[in-house]
Amino acid sequence: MTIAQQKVIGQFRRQLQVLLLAKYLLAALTIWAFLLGTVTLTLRSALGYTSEQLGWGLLSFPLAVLPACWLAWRHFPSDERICALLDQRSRCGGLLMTSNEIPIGEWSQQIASVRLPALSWRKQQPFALLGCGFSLLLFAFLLPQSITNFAGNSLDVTREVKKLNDQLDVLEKEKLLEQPRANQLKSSLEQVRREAKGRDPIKTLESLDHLQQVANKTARDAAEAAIRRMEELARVEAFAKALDRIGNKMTKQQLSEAMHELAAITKKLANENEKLLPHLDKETLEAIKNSSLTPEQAKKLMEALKNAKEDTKDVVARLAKAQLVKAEDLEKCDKAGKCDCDGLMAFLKDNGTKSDLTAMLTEGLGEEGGEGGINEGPGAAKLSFGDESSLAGTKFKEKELPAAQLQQLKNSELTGVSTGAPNLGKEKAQQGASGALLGAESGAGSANTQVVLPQHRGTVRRYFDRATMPKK
Amino acid sequence: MSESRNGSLLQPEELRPSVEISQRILEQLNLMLLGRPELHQLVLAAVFSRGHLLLEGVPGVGKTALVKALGQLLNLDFKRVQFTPDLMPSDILGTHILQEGHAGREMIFRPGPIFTHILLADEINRASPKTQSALLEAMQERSVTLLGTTRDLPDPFFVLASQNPIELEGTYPLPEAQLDRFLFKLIVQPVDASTLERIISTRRHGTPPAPNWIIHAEELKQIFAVMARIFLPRSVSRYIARLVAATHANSSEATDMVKTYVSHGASPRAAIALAESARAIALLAGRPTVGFEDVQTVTAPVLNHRLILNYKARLDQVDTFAVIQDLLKRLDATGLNLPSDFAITEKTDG
Repeated sequence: MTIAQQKVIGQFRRQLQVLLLAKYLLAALTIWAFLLGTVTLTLRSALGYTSEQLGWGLLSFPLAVLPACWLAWRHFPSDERICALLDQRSRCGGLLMTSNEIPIGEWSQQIASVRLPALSWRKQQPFALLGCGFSLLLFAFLLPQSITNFAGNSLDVTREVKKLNDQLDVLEKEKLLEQPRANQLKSSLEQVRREAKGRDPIKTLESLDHLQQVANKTARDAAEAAIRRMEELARVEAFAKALDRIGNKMTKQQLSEAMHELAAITKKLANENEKLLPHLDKETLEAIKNSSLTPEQAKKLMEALKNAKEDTKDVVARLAKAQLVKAEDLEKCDKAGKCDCDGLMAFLKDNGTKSDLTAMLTEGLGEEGGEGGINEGPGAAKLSFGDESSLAGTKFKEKELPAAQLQQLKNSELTGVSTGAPNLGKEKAQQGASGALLGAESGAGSANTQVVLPQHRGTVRRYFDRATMPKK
Repeated sequence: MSESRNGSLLQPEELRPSVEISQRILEQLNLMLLGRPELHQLVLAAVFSRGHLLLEGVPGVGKTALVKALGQLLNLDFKRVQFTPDLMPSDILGTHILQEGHAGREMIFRPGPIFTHILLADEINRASPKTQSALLEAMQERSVTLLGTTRDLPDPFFVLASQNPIELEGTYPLPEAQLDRFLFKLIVQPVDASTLERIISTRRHGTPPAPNWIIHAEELKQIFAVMARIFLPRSVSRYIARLVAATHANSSEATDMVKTYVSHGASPRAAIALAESARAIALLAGRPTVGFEDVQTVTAPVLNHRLILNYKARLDQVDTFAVIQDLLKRLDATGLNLPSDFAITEKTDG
């Protein structure tokens, strides 16, 4: 065989190898794309995996390339077969094939003109299929997670999980949950999200409820503790405020005893409440320890107590904002921070404070009633109400309005419609008598049993209101 | 063949005399018998391959004339036996007769017509199977055994048989074993109108003219010697093997048609026949090597009487030629087996 013929065979072989490799690569990539696309879609819709989690599947690319190379290599023809093909196409009558086996001598001149045939491949269809495969793959990865749940196999609890995750973050940030415990709860939450099944949502919802309960209980305990601390802070603040107010009226000894007492209860409070210490300066802290508070330090203490109350209230506010506790808890906390005279008195009694000092401090708080007369006393006594009365079950007494007041019906509010005509009985409409005193009798044995509804409180308050007289 | 593979290829000057002789025979045959050059080429190929021929055709298409002309051209002994139902084996092979001699009575062998170079077995399917079988040993072993004595037939020895595809009543179809011993089964078709016109205008009583040249025995031996040196490349021998294997329905390369219609495929003897006759075609083409096209030229004559079709083929009116053409079309000769979406075309310049 001449060098030219060997060159032609070599050229054809390379051409064929390239085309075979391209063909099998294309086929393998098409199958790979279809398979991966289908698997991705299935996993995303059935098990709720995200695109990011399944992105690792793209690394299986070599698994498609290697078999393609192996298949192409298996189909690479030998030189003998290529030689046979060229012999057939060039009509050499077996001379070219023979030259590959034995020397053909003078016959080689007859096969000098072996031409390289053109090798073509109809590649439109394979490329179209490859395009479809990659489109499916792109579709499988880029499809929004919410749409992948079309089959209903996975349960979309993303919103609930996110809310719970945020709540756990708040608890962790407020140091109400230790970090390992918070991490454990978060991983459990992620597991619940991943394994959420639309066909069997009970397990998922139960798990979510359980986690929510854990978070809520932690927050509720924290809120209750905060309310307790607020009450304690408020009592001590009330104590300090009373001292500030009546300190000048006290004897030196009384003041010293009161200061000593204040230092003692502050020390006790500081041990139980970590929010207070950051707001106290060194000197005040030292004075509290030594029970040697001065009036100025008592003022600083008041400020610190106020700040500690704010911090505590902020914590509860953040818990309420994260919907871990109710708004009512925040309100309770707020109320607990107000000066509680009765509480302070009970506290001082329990603390073993002398009764005269307690009385003076109570007087200092100014919460006691007036001293009699309209121009004496610290001011109006506090008007307090018990629990709010509900309208439910309240029976209104039926009465006939005087004709002159019928015009006022325009401004009245309809609370109900009776089924029959009003049963007035013996009672008659009394002109000029109305309101809470209606039906009250003078003399012994009379009692006003009229229920004071919440909307009447303003009226009652105004009725008993007395203008505060300036102190002499 | 192994000698050829290990030795050197026939060079042009070695091949040329044999090619010239064979071309001349063909030329003379075409002159004597008009209108069938392809048939003459195949007949010569069978002779050069030392194979036996079965000619099938309706009466009067020139089967006997062809054999006679061949006998004349090859300058060989030629005998004709008209096969009839009452023909006995001894009528062909010969017989021992008791004869009074000088030394007394003795059994003397009287050779039958088979002791010739070319035996024309006319209407072979009219003889009984017993008589037909008498030819089996002669065709394969080129010898005859009678009363325990084996006698060699003259060399070369050819059986050129003819049979009539019509008037099949009272005939005995040749058994497969005997059919397999014929190298080719050639179908002799009636000639076309123009050839017929030439025959009736140039031949009185249709008698072919005498050849103006005949071959010598040495020349024929030389052709046989050259035939033995025609090279069969490995790819071509693989193609022949695949082709024969593909005629079996259980072969991996069998076509749908083979799977549907063929009940028995070709024997290994068919593969040998293909290789030998393809060599003869290559010689007639003036080449020292066999190409795929040589194999494809002789595939139909070699295989058509060796494939046994089933009843489904008969119902669908499918014959062996259709099966063979389909096989040749679908089987990739080179064995490359390129994917179906690959195409090889000639490169156009520019």
